[in-house]
Amino acid sequence: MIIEYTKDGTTLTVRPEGPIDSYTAPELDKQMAPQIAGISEVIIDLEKVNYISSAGLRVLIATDQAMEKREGCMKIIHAGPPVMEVLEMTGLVNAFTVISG
Amino acid sequence: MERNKQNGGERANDFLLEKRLRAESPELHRRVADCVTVLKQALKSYAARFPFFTDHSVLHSMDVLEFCNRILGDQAEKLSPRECYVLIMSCYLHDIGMGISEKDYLSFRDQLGWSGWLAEHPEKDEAWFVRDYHHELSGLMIRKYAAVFEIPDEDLVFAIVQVSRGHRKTDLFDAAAYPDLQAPDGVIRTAFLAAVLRLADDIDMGVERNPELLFDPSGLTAQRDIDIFGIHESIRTVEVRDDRIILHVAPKEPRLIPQIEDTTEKIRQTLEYCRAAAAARSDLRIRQEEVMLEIMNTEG
Repeated sequence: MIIEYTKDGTTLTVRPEGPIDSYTAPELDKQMAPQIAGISEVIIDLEKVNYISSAGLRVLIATDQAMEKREGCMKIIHAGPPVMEVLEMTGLVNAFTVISG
Repeated sequence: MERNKQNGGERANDFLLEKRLRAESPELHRRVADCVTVLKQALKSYAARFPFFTDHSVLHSMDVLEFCNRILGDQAEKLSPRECYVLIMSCYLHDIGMGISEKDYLSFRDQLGWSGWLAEHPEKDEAWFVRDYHHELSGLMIRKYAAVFEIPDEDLVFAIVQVSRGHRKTDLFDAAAYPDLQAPDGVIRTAFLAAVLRLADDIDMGVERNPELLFDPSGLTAQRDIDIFGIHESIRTVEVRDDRIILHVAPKEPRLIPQIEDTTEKIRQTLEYCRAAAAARSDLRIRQEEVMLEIMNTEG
């Protein structure tokens, strides 16, 4: 899975590409733990994500919870229609900070 | 395993219950969505009593729900909207008893025979009691907080209580405890739903159960807890196919292999029980027939 990371001070932007499903989510999960060390804000840019499964949602929740433990925060940006549909269908759209536009 | 074929098959079963509920009953779907938002926070409270325990947060709820979707497959289309609602809510609520507040625990424990249990288990403590009885505590909490969870009527409260309690120990063959609830808009086959939930809960044994992001195994001291974590780490994937369940295993240490085999056998027994309960109590079936253990080739 192609995942781009950009750090700006204590803000980490994560840009995965392609589907986040049971095949790719474990890799994202594995990479996130060391990446968020010393970070206070994680921005997940989903512009290049064309599908997200339950496994992908789990990584988002785990990241969100990990940031909360660190008294930081996580935001989701640029979620396209396929991802927004899943977030709305599972009831998680209001459980995350999702920034539209 | 061909990824593309597997991936296509997996996607077909993604979010089956959620999709069906949203299509058939937007109102019940809205209630689930509101509940999930609350439970994402509320389900973290198990960690207060069980800081090094296997994850029982909303992550586990989502795993169980996904496994329910995979166990059901196209049979999800045969469930009524109310059944979809009951099963989804039970996936989210079945372990809420693990994070019970001290106040609620003190008000419920006598109903569950606390003093008799303590006399039989003097070496154990309150946390053990909560673990042993968390399914019953979940049932009591669901009933007490039904209005908070926005469960709209008594039949649905009863069904969610019974299906949630039913994730362990209860007798799914008991028709009085697990009736078919008839309603103008569809039946609720509580025994079948409980059987699906029990199996889905039992197979959530894979490495993703304790995400690296949230779980620091260096804090584990009790050998039992270390071994349980090692078993989870060793089960790299739990694959649910139409006819079987496969545990793909890369043992972390050779000494864990007997325990992994014991875990597999326990899941087999759960599958056998749940298949029998579903067949005896409903017209729907659990189609998976066996649990297989496949040791992964980690060389090269």
